[in-house]
Amino acid sequence: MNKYLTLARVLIRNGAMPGRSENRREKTVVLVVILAFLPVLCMEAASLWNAYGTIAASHLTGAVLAGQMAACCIAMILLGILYVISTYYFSDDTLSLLTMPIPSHRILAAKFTVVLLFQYWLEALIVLPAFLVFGIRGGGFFYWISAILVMVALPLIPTAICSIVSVLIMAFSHFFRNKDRVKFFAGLIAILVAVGITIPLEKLSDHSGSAAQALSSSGSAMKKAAMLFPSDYLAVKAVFGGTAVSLLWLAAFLLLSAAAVAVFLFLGNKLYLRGVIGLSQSNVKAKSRGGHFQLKKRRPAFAVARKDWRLICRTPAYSLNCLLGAFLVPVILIVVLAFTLHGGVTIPRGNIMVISLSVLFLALISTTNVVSPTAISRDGRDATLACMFPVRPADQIFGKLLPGLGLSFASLLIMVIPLCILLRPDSFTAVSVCILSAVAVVTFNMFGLFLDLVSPKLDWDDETIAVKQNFNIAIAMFVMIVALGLPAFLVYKLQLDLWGGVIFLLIYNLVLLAVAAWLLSWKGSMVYGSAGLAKKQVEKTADRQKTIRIVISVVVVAAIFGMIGWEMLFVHTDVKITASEVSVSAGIGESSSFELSQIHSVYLKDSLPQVDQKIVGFASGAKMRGSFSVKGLGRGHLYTQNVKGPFLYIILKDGSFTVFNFDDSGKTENLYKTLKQYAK
Amino acid sequence: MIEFSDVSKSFGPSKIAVDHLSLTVNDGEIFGFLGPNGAGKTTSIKMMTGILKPDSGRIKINGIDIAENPIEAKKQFGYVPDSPDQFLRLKGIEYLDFMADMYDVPLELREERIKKFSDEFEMSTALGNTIQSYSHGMRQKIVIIGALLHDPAVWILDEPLTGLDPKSAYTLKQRMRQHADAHKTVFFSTHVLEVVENLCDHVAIIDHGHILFAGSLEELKEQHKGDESLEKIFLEMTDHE
Repeated sequence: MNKYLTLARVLIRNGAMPGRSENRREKTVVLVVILAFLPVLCMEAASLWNAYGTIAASHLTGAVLAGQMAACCIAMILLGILYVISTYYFSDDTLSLLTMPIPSHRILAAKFTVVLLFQYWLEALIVLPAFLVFGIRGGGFFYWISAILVMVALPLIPTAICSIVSVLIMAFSHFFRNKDRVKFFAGLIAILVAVGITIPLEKLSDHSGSAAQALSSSGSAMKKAAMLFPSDYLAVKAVFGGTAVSLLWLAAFLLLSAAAVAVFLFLGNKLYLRGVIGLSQSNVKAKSRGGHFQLKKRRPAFAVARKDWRLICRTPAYSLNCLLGAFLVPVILIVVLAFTLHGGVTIPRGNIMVISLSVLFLALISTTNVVSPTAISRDGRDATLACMFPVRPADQIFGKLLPGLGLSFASLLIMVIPLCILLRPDSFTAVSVCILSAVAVVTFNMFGLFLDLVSPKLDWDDETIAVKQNFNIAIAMFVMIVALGLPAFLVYKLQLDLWGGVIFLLIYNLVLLAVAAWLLSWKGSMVYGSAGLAKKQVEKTADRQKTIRIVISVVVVAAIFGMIGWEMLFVHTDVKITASEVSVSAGIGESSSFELSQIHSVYLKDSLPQVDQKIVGFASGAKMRGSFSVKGLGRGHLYTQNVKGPFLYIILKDGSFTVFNFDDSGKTENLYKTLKQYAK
Repeated sequence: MIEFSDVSKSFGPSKIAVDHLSLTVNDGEIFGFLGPNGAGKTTSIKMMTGILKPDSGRIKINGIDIAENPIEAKKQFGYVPDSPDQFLRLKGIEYLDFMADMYDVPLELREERIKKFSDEFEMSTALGNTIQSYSHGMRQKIVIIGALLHDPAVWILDEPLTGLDPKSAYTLKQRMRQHADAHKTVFFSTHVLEVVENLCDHVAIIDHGHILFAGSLEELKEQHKGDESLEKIFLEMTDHE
């Protein structure tokens, strides 16, 4: 037992805490990550809190918890299986451990513990809010004891399943005996799971005002999912039993979990070595062809671009973040838009605001491939060697820019054609948007490369760090949003006409392009000319930049918290009635107004409208402000505070509507009496 | 020819890597650059190759100042860095093709030279695999081949023999001798003093950024009791510092 604990401790430290000197900084980063996830946990908890009354009244607490636990187990398996293969077979310590007199089951037990730490993070994200809300609202002594033990034991079965599958795969199959392949598929599955999870989460938050309806429709789905993990029913019976009998269910659940781990360790002891011995880091052909190769002379810029392109395609971290991002994000957006717009809509013709906002949107999406802001960082230590080549700085820069530009224009093309079909713009709008977006795409690729030349992230052992922990990406996006949002704001404020606006936007974008080109040329000449890009010089700047990045992260997280808290606590709906109109002011993007003469009918109802989809605004539980799509009514505005009626429905002559509901029911009724007289 | 004229480089006020270094490496010689770890060897080499910019002083390669005319100066040399772990995702042949493009080697010449060097260093069958799959020695060889493809007049080699098998090490040393005999320049740093004794025409010993000695091996031995080994002389000189 001692040796297992020693080994587990070492493996955890080796993986989780790399080096004492960086401990404080690493702890700060971990803290920032935790803070970043807190808003998600809080919103999940808030939704459940608001819906608890309905859930408890419908006796659905067990079903909800079982479903959440099953969803958690499924996520653990989907995200865990390749992480398990990576940890058991491809981690740096594996080869060292093989040379030591340590039995396989002890190595596996220690590595199992490492994986469990990762699974507990997932569990906290998915299931912890439910456990806490149900415990605070309706739990007793037995609940808390059972809940704690269940939470500790919950990841054991899914992790054991992942481990058994991985041991079998690695012992008997060749496909995953390649670290790059494992990394690529792990990243791909993570992206697909993340996209898959947001859809039901989004639906849950939209429907939480009518929780019973949402749950009864999704409740059966949850029950079906829970059937995949019968053990979760044991856990739910243990948690909600409330008597000493529930301890028997708890014991059964814990025994089952322990049995799963035991089966894994038994199997692993037999098969682990078979899978781990002889692994390779990359694809080595058994016979390499000698003799003649197809060589081709290229200009230096194209040689650099081709080299970069090969690195992007062959490195899993780069192909997932750069390549996949360039194609997947536009495609997903177009698909979502197509479903939202139900086949298409005609946008206003010759509208300068439509043009300026379209340019911002297209440029932003086209540059999500992050190739240019990481062009230097992705080379790592090789980047310094580029300074010794007898190649003009302009050629080096152009070569670095080409892959990012190519992918950005590919993304642009993927979006432009379907958008023209969906939105049916007039030719002038379409041509203006295309030209301006193209200019913006070039500008922000140049700017991204400039940023990476100024502060590249070169000192990494894992390629993922160059693209994931690189703040140049965030800075580039932020600058782009501000730089392209500003002309849209100016066009609106100055009330420019169509031609004036387009000329203004064109000149503005060309000036930005010239500035970006000058900055890139200046810095590129410095780096590739005589100044160089030595690792030691860059490390000093990088250390300072790291501190700045951590500060920025904390500020951003605090801002997100602040905004959410502000929306929930301080933003109120304010209704003003003048001689001719009703204006509603709330938060940003939530205000609306309508004319009194447009009122068709006004009535009170006791039920909350059933929301299909939030379009623009704020929604948390029954608290909703902004524009929504509502079942039976279509699109309109909701300004509701809670699930208790009355709800004031105002239907306008054009078919749109506004629904009011205040904490003070008397206020709602008074507004009804005031507006009723205008109904025709 | 390589000329250092009063070159200095520091990383912060307390870390002076190279201090007023002046050194000339003539054509037709193999020049050994020795020093303990952290002495300033790699920093000097990086300044020579344009990877680092000196704080003061000038460096000329074949009479061309690398600060004033970096492109022309960089065409004069081929550089083998101390770590061969570079461009690991590229196949060997792709790496060589890339290096040939960077140094503007004509197509016919590059094919001929790739074949010649890959046969000499026994790398022909490995060129189709990624560098990541190579052993340390193979990576060293592919980097050496890449540095020599454009037939530079000056060879700058940082620990080039590390990881090479005996045959490849012998091949490289032969080539170094042939290159110097053709009135060209070989500048290399190493920790293996036996190689320096057998191969080098002139040596320089650097420690804490200062040149302690620069001259021929005979001059060095004359200064230090005549019949002592280079190893003993080196340890004496660097210990006293």
